[in-house]
Amino acid sequence: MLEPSLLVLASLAKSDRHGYAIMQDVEEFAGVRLGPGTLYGAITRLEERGWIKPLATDDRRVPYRLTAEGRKHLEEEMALLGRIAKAGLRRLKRA
Amino acid sequence: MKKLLHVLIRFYPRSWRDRYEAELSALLDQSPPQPAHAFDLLKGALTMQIRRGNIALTPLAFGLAGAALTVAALSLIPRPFESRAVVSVRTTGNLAADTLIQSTLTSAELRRMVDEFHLYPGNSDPVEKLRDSISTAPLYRGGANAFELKVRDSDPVLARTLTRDLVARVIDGNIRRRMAEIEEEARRTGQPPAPLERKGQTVELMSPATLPTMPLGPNRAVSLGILAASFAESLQLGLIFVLLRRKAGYTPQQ
Repeated sequence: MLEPSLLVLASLAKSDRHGYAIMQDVEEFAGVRLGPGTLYGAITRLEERGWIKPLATDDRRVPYRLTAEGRKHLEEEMALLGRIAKAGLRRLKRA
Repeated sequence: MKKLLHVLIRFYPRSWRDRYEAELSALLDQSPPQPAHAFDLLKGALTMQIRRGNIALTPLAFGLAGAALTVAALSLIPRPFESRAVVSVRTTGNLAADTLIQSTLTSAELRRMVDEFHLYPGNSDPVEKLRDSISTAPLYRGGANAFELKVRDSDPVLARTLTRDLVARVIDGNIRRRMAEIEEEARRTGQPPAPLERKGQTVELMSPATLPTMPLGPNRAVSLGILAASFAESLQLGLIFVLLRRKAGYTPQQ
C-alpha cells in the first residue's frame, strides 16, 4: 500500500544502491515486490524532484544516492506515517 | 520472456530511454523474468508517455495497453476439449439425416445422459448446458450422408465418453424408431412385419469418438475482431485523454 517512491527513498536511506539492489532491499524490508516499470517510474519522479541523484559509474547499473532534500522529505513522510500508525493503534485499542 | 521485456522498453518515450534505457536493461538482465514484469513495463511506458505528453505515442500506448489487457482476458477464458465421431445415415424414407440426429437429442434423452454421468453438478439447467456442448455438422463421404457428432467438455476423457454414448443413443434410437414404424405398418396393413433392413434409415458408425489431446483454439476471426476493437477503443480513449490534458493547460515534462 506504500508509495513506491517512499520505499525507494527508505531503501536509499541506508546506502547507495542501483535499481536491482533497491528491488531486493525493498522486498526484504517491506515484503513488497517492485516491478521494473514501477521502480523506474519512481526513480524518474524522485530524480526530477531532486530527492535522489545518480552517481558516476562505468557500469550499466547506475547507483543512486539520497540527497539532503530527499532525506528531509523522507523524514517528514515517516513522521506522518508514525503519527497515523500511533493514532490508528490507539483507536484500535479503544474499539 | 527476457527478450520480450527488452522489446517493451521501446514503448517508453525516446527522451526517457536516452537517460534510463541502459540501466533498466541491465536490471532486466539481472532479475529473473516474470510475466507480471511485462504488464508492469507496459504500465510504466504508458505512464511515461502520458507524463511526457506525447500526442502521437500516448494514444498508441493506450491502444497497445488495451490490446494487451484483451489478450490477457482472452487467455483466461477456459478452452474446452472436443471429441468427434462420424456416423453415416443411409435413408430410404423421407426423414432427413440431420432431423434424425436432432430427434435423438430430446430433453428426456439428454436428461438421462446428465443423470447417468452426473454432469454439471450445481448448474441450474444441466440439460441445456449439455445441449449447448453438443454440435453436429454434415459431411459427405462415399456417397452416404455422413454426420460429425461433436461434444465439448473441459475434461477430454469425459468429452470422448459423452460422444460415444451419444452415438450409441443415435443408433439405438434409430433402430427403435424403425421397429415402431414396421410394427405400425404391419398393424395397419394386416401383413407380416417387413425385415428391419428394408425399412427406414440405417445409421452406422464410420469413425469412433476421438480422444482430444489439445483444447480448442480460440475462434481466430472473433478474437482478432475483439482485439482490433479494443485497440481502436483504447486508441480513441488515449486521444481524448491527451486532448483533455492539453485543454487543461498541462505542460509536458521533457
